[in-house]
Amino acid sequence: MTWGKGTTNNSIGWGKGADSNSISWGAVYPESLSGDTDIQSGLSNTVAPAISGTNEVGEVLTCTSGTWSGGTPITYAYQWKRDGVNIGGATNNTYTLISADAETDITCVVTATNAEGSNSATSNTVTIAAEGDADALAFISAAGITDPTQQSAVNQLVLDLKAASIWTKMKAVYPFVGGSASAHKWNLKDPQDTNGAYRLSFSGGWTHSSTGATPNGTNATASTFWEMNDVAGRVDNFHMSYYSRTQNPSGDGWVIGRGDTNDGDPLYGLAIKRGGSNLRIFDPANLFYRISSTETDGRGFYVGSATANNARVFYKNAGSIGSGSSVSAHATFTGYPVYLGAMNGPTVLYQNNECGFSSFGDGLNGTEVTALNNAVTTFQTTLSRNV
Amino acid sequence: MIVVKLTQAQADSLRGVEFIPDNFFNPIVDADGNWFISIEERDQCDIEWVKECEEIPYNPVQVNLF
Repeated sequence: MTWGKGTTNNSIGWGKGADSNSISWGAVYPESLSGDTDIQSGLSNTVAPAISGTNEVGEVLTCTSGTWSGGTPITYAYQWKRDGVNIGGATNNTYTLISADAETDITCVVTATNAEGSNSATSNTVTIAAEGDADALAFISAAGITDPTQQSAVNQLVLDLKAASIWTKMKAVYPFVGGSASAHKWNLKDPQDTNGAYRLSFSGGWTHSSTGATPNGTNATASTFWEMNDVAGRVDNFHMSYYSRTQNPSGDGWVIGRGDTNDGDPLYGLAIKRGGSNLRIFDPANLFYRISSTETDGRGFYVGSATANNARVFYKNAGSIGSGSSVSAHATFTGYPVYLGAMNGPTVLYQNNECGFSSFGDGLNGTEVTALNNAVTTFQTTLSRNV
Repeated sequence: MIVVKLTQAQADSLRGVEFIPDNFFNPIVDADGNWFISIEERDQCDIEWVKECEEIPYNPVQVNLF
């Protein structure tokens, strides 16, 4: 038999038994009360302690004492717990979440004490969110992304790229979240507001929205400030990617790349041509060298990648849609950084293909392209803008 | 497709000017030698004289790529 709370505070008497039709000595528990009364102190918790605050690492949680009945004065002590285990030194009514708390359940036990004794009650449980990746957080801060879904999508994108060991191969990653030029310009890989960080600079007519950025096909460009490094007049280790959201882009369809200094012919780039009929990745020296494929729908995730001179492949949604052989060298040139949304050169080539993601960097093999495609697909799905 | 015709002096005055945060005017020349900006730039900017400029059909410079 357990002594307990009576019908009034500090009373005992006949009470509810083990079943609804019996009574027993000892305790009468009014059903509105959740806590036991400590007989010695007479302390009973009538409103449970409550944790408030943001459930993210680095944030501060606060726990109320709850409401107690019993002899006064009453003092309160706090013990925070992680997955039911005491957290050392966490004995104030506030607690700053640390990395070890990510994806755990946090509770707080409040112990009320008066002159006669003490009694304890446990707070609600707060599940702590997975800790944000530092690179993702830097981008989210720079781009001013406040939407939790977008934040989560960016964080997962970074985690996926790192897990696949392709994060380090990226020079620039443009997620196009936030719906404005001021949000879309940032490079996830290096979110600094400088040309050297490959931060985009938008010129001409662009439409920025929650699904991406759309050049107008007449004068819109976005400079990446990336001057591809020609090695002996050839680039054998690079990739470019573009998440295309437009079925039939206008113009010649060059969505990313740069041309040469003579007549603007594309040397390196991806094209998703009008009518969905021809996709190309260009290589140097031979102006007619290209990898082509016939597509009926321009939408999808396109990657052009060279991992060696004789390993040049064009992918759509991770599937190879063409490959090329070795190419010869051409004269090196500078002064035409890669454009996004257009092809840079003495004559700029424009098109109007909405972009939901783009990247460039070192060459990716087939396995790595698959991993990139999976990461980008997850990213677009999370944002409900996959095509 | 329609674009907004400019004089060369007008184009020079707009080139590189930020018309919305982080998006800059980009006047270029069409196949007829006309300077122009896009409808998007005109509609998104708050420069009154730009909004009064003449609209013309877009006549792109043709490039023989291959």
